[in-house]
Amino acid sequence: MILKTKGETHNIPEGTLVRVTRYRNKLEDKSYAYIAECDIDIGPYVNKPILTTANINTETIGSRPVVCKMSSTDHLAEDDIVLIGQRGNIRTLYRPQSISNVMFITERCNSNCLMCSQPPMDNDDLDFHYDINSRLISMIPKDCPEITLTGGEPTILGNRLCDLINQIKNELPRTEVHMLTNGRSFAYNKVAERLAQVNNPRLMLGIPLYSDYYQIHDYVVQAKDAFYQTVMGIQNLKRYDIRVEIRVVLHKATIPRLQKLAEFIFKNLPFVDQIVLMGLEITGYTKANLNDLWIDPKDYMDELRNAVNYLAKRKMKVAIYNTPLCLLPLDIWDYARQSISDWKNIYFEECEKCMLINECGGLFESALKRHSNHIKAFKEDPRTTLSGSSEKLLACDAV
Amino acid sequence: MINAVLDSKVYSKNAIIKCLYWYSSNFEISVELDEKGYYNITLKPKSDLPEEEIESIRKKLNQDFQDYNLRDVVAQETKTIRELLIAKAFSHGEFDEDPPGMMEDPLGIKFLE
Amino acid sequence: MDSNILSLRKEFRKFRNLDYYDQSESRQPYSLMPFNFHRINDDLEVLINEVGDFLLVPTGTAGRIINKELDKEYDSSLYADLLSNFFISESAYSPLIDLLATRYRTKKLFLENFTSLHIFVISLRCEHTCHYCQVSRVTQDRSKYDMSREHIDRGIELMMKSPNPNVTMEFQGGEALLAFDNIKYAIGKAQEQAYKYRKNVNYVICTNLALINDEILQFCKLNDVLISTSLDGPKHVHDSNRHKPHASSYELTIQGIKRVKEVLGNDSVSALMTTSKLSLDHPTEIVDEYFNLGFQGIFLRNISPYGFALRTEKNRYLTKEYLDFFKKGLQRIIEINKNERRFVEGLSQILLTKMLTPMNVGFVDMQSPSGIINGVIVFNYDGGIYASDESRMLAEERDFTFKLGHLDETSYDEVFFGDKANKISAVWANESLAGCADCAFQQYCGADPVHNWATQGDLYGYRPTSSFCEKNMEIIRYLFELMATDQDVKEIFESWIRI
Repeated sequence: MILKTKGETHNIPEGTLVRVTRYRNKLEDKSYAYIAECDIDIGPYVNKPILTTANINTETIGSRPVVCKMSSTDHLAEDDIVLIGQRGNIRTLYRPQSISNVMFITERCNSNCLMCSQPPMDNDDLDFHYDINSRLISMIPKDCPEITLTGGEPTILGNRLCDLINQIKNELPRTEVHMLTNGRSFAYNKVAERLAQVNNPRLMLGIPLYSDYYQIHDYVVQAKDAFYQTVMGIQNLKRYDIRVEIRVVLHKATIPRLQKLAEFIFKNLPFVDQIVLMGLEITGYTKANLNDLWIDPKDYMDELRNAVNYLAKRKMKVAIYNTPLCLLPLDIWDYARQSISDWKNIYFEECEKCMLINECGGLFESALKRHSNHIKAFKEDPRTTLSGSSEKLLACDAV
Repeated sequence: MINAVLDSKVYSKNAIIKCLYWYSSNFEISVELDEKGYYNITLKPKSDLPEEEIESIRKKLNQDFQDYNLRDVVAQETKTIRELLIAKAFSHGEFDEDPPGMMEDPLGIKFLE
Repeated sequence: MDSNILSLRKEFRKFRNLDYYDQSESRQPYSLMPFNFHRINDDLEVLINEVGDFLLVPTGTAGRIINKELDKEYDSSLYADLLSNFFISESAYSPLIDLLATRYRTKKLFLENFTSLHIFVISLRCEHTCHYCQVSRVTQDRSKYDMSREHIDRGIELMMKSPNPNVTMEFQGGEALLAFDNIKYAIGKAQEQAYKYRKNVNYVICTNLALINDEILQFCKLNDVLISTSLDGPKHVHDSNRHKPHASSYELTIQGIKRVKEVLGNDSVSALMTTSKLSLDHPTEIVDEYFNLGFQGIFLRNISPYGFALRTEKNRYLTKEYLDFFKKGLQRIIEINKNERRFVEGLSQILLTKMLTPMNVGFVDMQSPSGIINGVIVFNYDGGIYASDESRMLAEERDFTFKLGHLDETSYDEVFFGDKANKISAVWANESLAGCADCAFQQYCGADPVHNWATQGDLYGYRPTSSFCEKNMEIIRYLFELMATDQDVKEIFESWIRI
């Protein structure tokens, strides 16, 4: 699925946000733009913005707002919100059909994680994105179930981040707000306090913690003192009862001390709202560092199972993301979630034969580059072919 | 009778006293510091004890002297930290630490006020 | 992009290896954080930090750590464990010291709301003649041994003054049900006051169940009253301990338990055993008795050295025999867990929760500062106010050391913050007691000035001969040893902890 395309813009200011439609009558609403096939003669709506793949003559366009010669409009669904940007870039910012909508805060980041899926750019883009996002929030439909704030590192935006979250609270009161952050800024209690003052009860922060041992965490995120800052940050956030989810990406550097990390979390951060253990995405920086990171998920299932069970027995909420069911031991299937954003979610040919394809989260698109050797379709549901349950049973053994 | 001679440069007084506390119900104890800086310690059993038992007590006492000495080292080195810890535990954030290290990205712009 | 920024960026965005993030260079050698250690057996010792986290290590490890002989590379795994568990630090103290402080505060959280358990000795009358009973036996006819209604009112008034939003009102005796009318009155009054003061009150009646009937059961059902009874073990043990003229106390108790479960539900009745000299010979049978009756567990208590118990030769015994009994009982319980179902030993559960979790455990018999006054207060049948159940038993022996006042005349402040309370407070924290101050198990254990006074004649206590100390230290050591040597037992213990 593509989220951006290019065209030739005429008479539309850079940075315009529009909602797209294939129904002319919706053009009564000023926020809409019309996706035209080839004919841009749309009668009474002559001054409304039009998007088209057609190669329209500049003279025909005149002073009308038009984007023509677009590479594609097929990816645009009804009511999608797009940004008409610089140099004819058309970027989809919001899709009502998706449950994984993301609001991009900045490309700046003060960490440099070995496996970063969105490698940072050191451009001062704070104003640019803030301007777009504050307008975008007003356009997002009120029934949007969830929005994820991400980057880079969102807290680099400073106070205006609180303004955005506050705006979301006021304009989208029923929308869950999930913010991905390294949590380091919250080591300053004032920053946590300020966020708490916004008082958005639907806010949850997803904060990565990769080890109980500072040196490993700092190494994974490639930032000195990050571990201490992040843990202090989580503590401060919890002073104000802000919801925190700890995220752990599973790879060669984080697996050896995974159990000790689980113990550290239970003993020191028992108040976190949930812990998410995530399969590795082979994109961004991961590719450059693959040798230091790659481990076939099948090879770490003992560690994963132990950590999951340890936390679950102590009544902590655990979830496993980005890991197909065929790789997981049966006794921890309950924790697996279909977590991969729709636009990068794929299933292999092997998966088409699997009877559990609808329950399984599938793979990242980037898995085509590197993936486990053990992806295998289920011919039978292993949960029903067993008479008793055996903790140590591996799901694929039952197939 | 159990005798022990401990170098005051190696064993602290606190450690010795705390160790001997545990033997004070079964033994009459005397501790003297001589001019050369050695503690001369005697433990006289309050009731008759068989020789094997005295021997095993002697061994345990030796081990205990070392253990209490180690504990004393920790106590000395961490005395202020313990006090700080308790003060923090019963504070309301007045003594909170500043975060260690740097937090900025390459643009170096301070994003925290 | 600015060339300055470009070079900064290049530097910032260069990937570094693990060694680059080593911070130990700044301070060589590492510093120590507060911790203690204890030898478990010849091979193992346990390291315990300031908030009760532990590491089981080979003997001699503590010495190596304290003498700064650890090598970050050679001992890499241990080094990492020590650092992340606050045993050592690579700076003056751990950068996460505020986190550690929060954990310390959490461990003492049981103090936050102050007194919760309020014991009302509703009557001293009793029809049993248990040989270890600390309370003198006064038979049925003398009603001057019942708590008066005025005193009940006043006790409830004090209970409502507790800052704790949750309080427990526990009726004891003698045999509490002999004064059932007064219990009904007391609960009614308390409910009225609870509504007014916005308190949540839990009600418990301690009874031998001989007198249980439908009327009482219906009342309990209606008012959410829990039952606590005594069950010392199988018939021959129980009846030998608790002599009831003309009947079998055991039969009555068993029938009573059955009836209570039928009417009030399976979780409405708990049983407590008391260990007598006879009990010591039957640990497995006692455990089996509780298991077969469907209880969730058993608390292998020792006999308290108070009152009546001390008088009879039958019950003087050495702590060592109790420990032997405890270990046999625990082994049987572990076997049950392995083969049948989860079945918890009560004292171990409390200790294990302190050892294996960051949670606070308010167990009045073993906490620091101690549970007396801070956690429990007793209103006696005659209006006397006592710091704990054991304190009022001492009073039966004419020892009023822990009498804090009288319901007729003493104010709340005088009881809880008066001179006596102040005097006791000087000795109720094990952090400052000789022997305890340097004990590795300090965070798991507690202080019991009442026990010290009763057994040694001194509030402060003398640890070398303290049965409280001897018992607790050995049980804690034993639990560590079991966990270190048997992974299955460790998992069983982990299933017991209260989250």
